[in-house]
Formats: sequence, C-alpha cells, structure tokens
Amino acid sequence: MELQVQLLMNTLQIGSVYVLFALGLTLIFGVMKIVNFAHGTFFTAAALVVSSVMIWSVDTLGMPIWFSYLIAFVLALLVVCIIGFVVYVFGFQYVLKDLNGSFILSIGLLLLLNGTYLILYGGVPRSIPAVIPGNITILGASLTIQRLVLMIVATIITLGLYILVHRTKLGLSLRAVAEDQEAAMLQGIPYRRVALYGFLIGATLAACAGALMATVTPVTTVIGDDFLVKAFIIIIIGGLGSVLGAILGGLLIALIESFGGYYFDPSTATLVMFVLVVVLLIVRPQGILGHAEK
Amino acid sequence: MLKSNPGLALCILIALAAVCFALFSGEPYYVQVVIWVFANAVLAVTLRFVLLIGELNIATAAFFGIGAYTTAVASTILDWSFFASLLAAPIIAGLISALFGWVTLRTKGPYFLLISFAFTEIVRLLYTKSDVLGGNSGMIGMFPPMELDAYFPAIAITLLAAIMFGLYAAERSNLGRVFKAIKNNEDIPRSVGLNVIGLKILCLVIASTAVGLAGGVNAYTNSVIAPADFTYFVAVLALAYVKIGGEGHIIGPIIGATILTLAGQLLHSFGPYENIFYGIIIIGVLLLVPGGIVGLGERFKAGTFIGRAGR
Amino acid sequence: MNDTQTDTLSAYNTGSEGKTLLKAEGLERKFGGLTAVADFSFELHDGEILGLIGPNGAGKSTTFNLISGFIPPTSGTLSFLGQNITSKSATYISRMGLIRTFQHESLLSEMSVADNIIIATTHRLKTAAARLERMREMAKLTGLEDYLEVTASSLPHGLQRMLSIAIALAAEPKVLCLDEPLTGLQGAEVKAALDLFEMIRSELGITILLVEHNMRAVMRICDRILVLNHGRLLATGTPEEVSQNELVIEAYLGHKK
Repeated sequence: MELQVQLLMNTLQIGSVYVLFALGLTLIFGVMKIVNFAHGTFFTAAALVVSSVMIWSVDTLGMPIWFSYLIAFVLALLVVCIIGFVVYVFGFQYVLKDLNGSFILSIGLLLLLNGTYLILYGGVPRSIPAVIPGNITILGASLTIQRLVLMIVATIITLGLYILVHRTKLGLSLRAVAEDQEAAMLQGIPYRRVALYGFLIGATLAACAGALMATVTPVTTVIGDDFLVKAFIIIIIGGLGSVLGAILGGLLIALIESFGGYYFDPSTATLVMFVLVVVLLIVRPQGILGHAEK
Repeated sequence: MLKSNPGLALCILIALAAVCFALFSGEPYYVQVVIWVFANAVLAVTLRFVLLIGELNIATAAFFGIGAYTTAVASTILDWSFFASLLAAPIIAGLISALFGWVTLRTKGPYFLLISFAFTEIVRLLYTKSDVLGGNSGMIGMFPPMELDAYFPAIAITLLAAIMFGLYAAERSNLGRVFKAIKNNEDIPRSVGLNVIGLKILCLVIASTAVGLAGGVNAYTNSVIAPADFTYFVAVLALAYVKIGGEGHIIGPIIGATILTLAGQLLHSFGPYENIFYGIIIIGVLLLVPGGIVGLGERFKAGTFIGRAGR
Repeated sequence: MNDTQTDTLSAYNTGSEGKTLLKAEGLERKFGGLTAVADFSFELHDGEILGLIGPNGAGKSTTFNLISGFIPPTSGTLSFLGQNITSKSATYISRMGLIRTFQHESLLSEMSVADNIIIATTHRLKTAAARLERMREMAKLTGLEDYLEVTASSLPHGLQRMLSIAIALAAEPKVLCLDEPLTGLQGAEVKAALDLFEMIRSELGITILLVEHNMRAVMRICDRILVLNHGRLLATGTPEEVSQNELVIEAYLGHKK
C-alpha cells in the first residue's frame, strides 16, 4: 500500500510536469499546425535562467532562497517569452501550417539555441538550493514538500490554462482557429495575432515546467530534450491539438513510467509506451480524443 | 540513354572517379571522407525518397541503424561471410520497415513524423538495453576479410553509388510518378484503382532497404557502431542535406550532403559552434533560399533570381 | 421538413430496360449525431444516364463517397455487377470499374496533364507504351491533346474539368460517377461537355451517374433523375415527372427563398 501510494505520488509529480510540457506542444500544434521540435529549448532556457539567477542572487547577494526563486521564476518566463517572440517573428510566422518547413526551422533553432546555451552556461550540471526544505508523509509515503508544491503549482497552471482555453474570449479564438482557420478568419478572428498568442502561451507553459523542474533536478543545457520524446508520445496518444488529451496522455505516460519503471525497468516502461502507441494507431489513428478526418 | 541525359553521365563519371580514387589513393583519411560523403548522400537521398509521397520519415535513421546492427551481428556473432552479412542488412531493414509502414502509414503528416521520431529513439533504446548488441558501447570488430581489405573502400563506394542510381531509376519509372501523385492528392490515385496505402508502404520499404544496405556498409567502414550513431539526429542532418541541396531533384540531396560533410570535417574542432553553424545554415536556407541550391539553379535558368522569405 | 412522404416512394418502379449495374438498399450514413444520408435505395441500369440532384447539403456528395467506397455506410448494402461491395475499399471498387470524379481538388494539380492521365492507366496497363497510347486517346477525346505538358493547375478552368473526366475515362470505367462536372463552365463549354457525356454513353458504352446543379443540363441529358433532400430520397422519375413533382418544386423553392 505504502509503495503504491509512493508510486502514485511519483506519477502525479512527473505527470504534472509532462502535462505542462505537452500542453504547450499540443496548443502550438492546434493553432499553427506545426510540430515544434524546439519546444524543449524553452524548457531548458527557463531552467537555466532559474539556476543562474538563484546561484548568483543567493551566493552573491545573500537573498532569501524563496524570494530569489520567485524573482528567478518571473525572469525565466520573461526570457522565454522574449525568445519565443523573436523566433516567432523571425521564423515561425513564415512556416505556419507548413509541417516540413516548421520541422526544419525548429530543428535549426534547436541546434542554434542548444549550442548557445552550452557556450553561455557550460556543460556542468548545477543544482539549486532547496526552496522549501522538509518532508511530508502522506498515507505512509514520504515526499519532499518541494515536490508536493511543484505538483500543486503545476496543477493550478494546468487548470488556469484549461479555463483560459474554455472560458475566455482568447480561448475561444484559439479553439476556433484550431478547428478551422479559414472559417475563424471569416468570423473576423485575426489569425496571425492569435497564432502568436498561442505560440507564446505554449512557450510559457514549457517555461513554467522548466522553472519548476529546476527545483528538483540538476540543470543541464539539454534538460528539455529528454522531455521531447515523451511529450510526442503523449500528444500522439491524446490526439494532436487536444487539451484534455494532453492532460490524460501526460498522466497515463507518467503512470506507466512510474509503475513500469519500478516493477520492471525504465526502458521496459518506454517500450510499453511505444506498444501502446502502436495498438492505438491500429485501433484509433486519430488519438484517444482526436477528431477523425472527414 | 546517356546521350540524352548528360547529367546522369556526369554522375556516373564522378562515381567511377571516386571508385578509382579509393583504389589508387594512398591517403586513407581522404578515402574515408569520400565514403562518408557517399554514405551521407545515401541517407539524404533515401529520406527524400519517402518525401516523394509527402512524408517526413525520421525513421530513416532507425533503418540505417538496423542495417548496421544486422551486419554487425551477422558478421561478428553469426560469423557470416562478408557479402552475406552485407546482404542481410537491407533484407532485415526492409522487412521491419514493411511492418512499421503497415502500422504507421495509416496516419500521415504530423502523426507519421512524430511516430517515426519515437520509433527511432525507441529502437536506439533497445540497443542500449541489449547485452548481445553490446549495450551503450555498441559492437566492434566488423572487418572485411583480409583478401578484400584493400578493395573495401572501392566496394563500399560502388554499393553506395549503386543505391543512388537505383533510387534514381525508381523515381524516373512509373512508380515514381505514382508516388508523386499520392503526395499531390491521394484521392485521385485511389479513385482510379491504385492501392494507395500499399504503395506508400512500398515506397517506405524501398527507401528502408536502400538505407539498410548503407547501414551495413557503414558497419564495415567504421568497424565500430554504437547506439549514439543512430539517433534521430542522423535524419535531421539528412534533412539538412536535402534542404540545402534542394528537394526538387535527386541531385539536390547529393550536393547538399557533399558540401555539408566536407564543411563538417573542417568544423569538427569547433565544439558547440559546429551545431550553431548547422543551425544557422538550416534556418537561413529555409527562410532565404527555400528551393535549396537546385532551386536556385532553376530560378537562375528561368531568369527570376529573386530571394524571398518563407514559402 | 418535406420528407414525410418519402417512405412511400420507391425508386424501382421507373427506369430503362438495361440490367442493374449498381444497387443501393437502405443506405445510411451518420457523422456523429448528424444523419447525412438515410434510407436511400436506388438502382443504376446499364446504359443510362442517371441524374442525382438536390439542394445544397442534401447528401449528394456523401452518396458519392459511399458508393465509391471512400467512406463506409453506417448501414445498408451496396452491390455492383451483382457483387456485394458494402464496406469494400475505394481501391477495390474502382478496380471493378466504378470510377468517380471529384467536385473539388479533382486533379493532380502539380503534375502535367499527361501524367494526370497516365496515373489513371497504371492499374490496368503494364507497359509504358500502352499507357502513353491510352493517354493520348483520352486527351484527344477530351480536347486536351495540345496541353499534354502543361501543369494541370495552370489549365483554364474548363479544361481542368475536362481533365478530371479524362482521368476517370483512362481508368476504363463501366460506370462513371461525375460529381458536378459542369460547375463554372460557360455556355459553349456546357454544350461541349454534354455532347461528350452523350458520346461516352453511346460510343464507349459507359453508364453515367451524374450529380449536377445545372438543372437545364440535367433535364436535357438524363434518362432518369433521383432527387435527394435532407439525406432522403424525395422523388424519382423521368426529367418530366420530376420537374412537375410538387415536393421537388417545394424543396427547391423553399431553399431559394
């Protein structure tokens, strides 16, 4: 029982980050019909900013850790938004709805940004000091408070996004554009502006995930890339462009990873995920919640 | 046939020259570079072959690896002869790709792209977890037999060149026309009695068989293979070759592979700057010269030599 | 709205003498909660030109997609040449000789006229020479012989329509299903197209199922007409019978108002 609770806690904790990451990808796909292979670089950038700012402000300026983390978090989102804006304006806006073109562009960005990070940050992994120290026991399973908070914050952000997409005017525009871009434009929705917002929201979600993960794992310049394959599997399972699909898919993959990883080993868990994808493809090519093509 | 196609004649001459260079040059390093150029060109040409039906096949990297591992197993574990172990590579790669295509080609576009990506990473993961295949450190000891050792570079170049000529012939045949039709609008071929899914699978199998053989040649060329040689990044570089050379004609990826492979040799010592260089080249070509070098040549011929952003 | 009496109608009681080539019984197709076609039965007889008309959204395109195997029916059966083809693939059905055209994106827009037609010969003809010969014949028949190397998308609109018919003909159909082939054609082009359809029927012996909005053309060329409304068969009969049917007049006028 304790063990199962522990594994479930792991699932929720990894899952909440996967969901944030995959949500950004699926949102960008929905609005722009592109797959952003450089999505991991947003995640990485945020983690790098958090780690750099915190190490500097805590060691050099002697700020309290929690305060320093808050500043770092905000700065990380800001930096990622600026990167996102620049790559959109100088790149992605020219390859909207162009699958091959956007793939190549995002790969080019991946190389360029990862190379730049390596030069600026160096290759040595760095850990940041614990923001909230201490442990907590839930139903016999032990958990650092930090991870619990991470989980809660990620869930709140996910809920926030869900409300944004389903309850606001911007969300309506995003959904309309994802459903049928031309019809949306006929309704007077400015496609290019909505695409930019969608892209920036997606980037910000990846940044949130990166800034949160930086508190519990050593930061490297390729930290975001590890999430990419899993995120792809998640959005294939959930259906490209589906918000709910990304949430369910993220939790499912985390469940397989957590339990499969314990009872077998991590690579078996990854294999199980792939088998799941194959079975799903045979049964339901458009994903669990994706729409069938007419 | 050659009289009416001077470009093809020139390519055959270049291939023959490369074979002669491999036979008579005393510089092993340069011979090695020539083989790399040909191997990378095959990767780019096979990636482009699946682009004929409109699909971006990251699993090109996986089938390259499957070919290499097949040859390595056949050669070092099963003790098969040189040619038998080479022959096994395209067969196994082709068979696995048929299965892979049967499952995945029900989807297209972004789904196929992502699945081929995931497949590539998972196959690589399998290598790292397999003790028989040497785990993370891979396999070593694939050497051509002594009596063939001196001729191996020439054999490798001949095989790689033959693959490209074969794919060129396939593209020029009616089959190539059908593939392009599927990319253009697959409802039309379907409405006139063609089995579109079957043809897509065939396209993938042809490309995978070809790249599988290249993988087998690669195993003997390097004598050492490891999982890290077959990440999705292999396909990404192949795509860069295709884009830079231009995908309008088969010669595009070959030109792209040649230029970037040679440039890569010069840039090896620059560490992270090498990736930044590739990144800038890829982005720049995509946005400024979308047709690649081949497209540039055609526009030059047509007299509309004006750069434009995007497509 | 006006489909209350359709159940009493039967498609079988009129028609020409030829044997039945294509037969649909109780055809139904739903998309989610939406019923696009329901309880649709008809027969297509050898040698006739059968018109399928109805207001926009009546289910004509769905019917075409169903009989050509591009989508499977939710229920009902289809038989062609005496064989049950319900839920058979589009490839299978087109190989049997039921060839359709498309209302939109009916061409290989990036390929030459010659390549467009050659693609359609690929399944039946195995040598390049035979394909070329058939391609030339079809191009000549449809007035495209001077445009063989032109990219399909740069053809004038009228010739694009001709090309889509040439593609279908090159595949050697027994039954040719034309999806709004006259859309966007000018007066003289319409007449030429109708002459071509007549010739296809009389000289090539191909049976035609025609979906078309141009009423005058349908009335002129069809032997029988099926009228669909809200996915159901509203009326059937000769052009004269149909044009005097009150339900049909109401359906059309009701939509126009």
